[in-house]
Amino acid sequence: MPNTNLKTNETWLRILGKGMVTIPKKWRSELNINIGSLVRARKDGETLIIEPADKPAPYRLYSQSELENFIADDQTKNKKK
Amino acid sequence: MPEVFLDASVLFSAIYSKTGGSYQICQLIKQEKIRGFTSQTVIKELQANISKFNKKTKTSPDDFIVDHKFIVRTEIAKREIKPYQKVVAVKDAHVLAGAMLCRCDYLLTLDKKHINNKDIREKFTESIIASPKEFLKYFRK
Repeated sequence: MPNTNLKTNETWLRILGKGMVTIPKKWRSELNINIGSLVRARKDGETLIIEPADKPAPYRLYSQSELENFIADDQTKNKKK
Repeated sequence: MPEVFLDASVLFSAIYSKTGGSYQICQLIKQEKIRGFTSQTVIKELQANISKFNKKTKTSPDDFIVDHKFIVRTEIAKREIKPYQKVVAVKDAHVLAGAMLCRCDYLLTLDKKHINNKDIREKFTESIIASPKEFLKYFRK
């Protein structure tokens, strides 16, 4: 193993056959990477970055009256429901 | 050509009513007089709200979006809404993020309570927040 000081958030990984690599279990748990998960890999110059898949942004569920108001407020000729 | 981002409230009204400003906006998009954008997150929100609404529609949101020639941005990720969580509620941040990421001139919404209010209009300056009717007034001048 190269004699280089590692930062606390770095580790050495050995590349296995067909380029396979084992991500440390602690990191997998922290990043919620499970068997079968998709991760995004990016080659950035001399660096390889592996990121967990993006989590989708949350969205709003409106109430029945809010939805009805959208339609009523939208009428162009005072045609309120 | 003006570029407008439509949120779920506008698409919802356009699907349910052909006599509202939202439907007119969608027709202008279809006629390629304005360029219409939305996001996959908005479409998911739209589908979820249509499912719980007590009046059913035969119009499929997906078909509506395709038929009206919308440009659809990929799903907004949690990391992309971070800058807007200080401006609006977390559930609405994807709308501001979508308008900004699509670089739209206008963000059209019927949601006065959570998005189209004075406080948010002042804080969010990347796009002009307006209702469909307000936009139509501007567009016809």
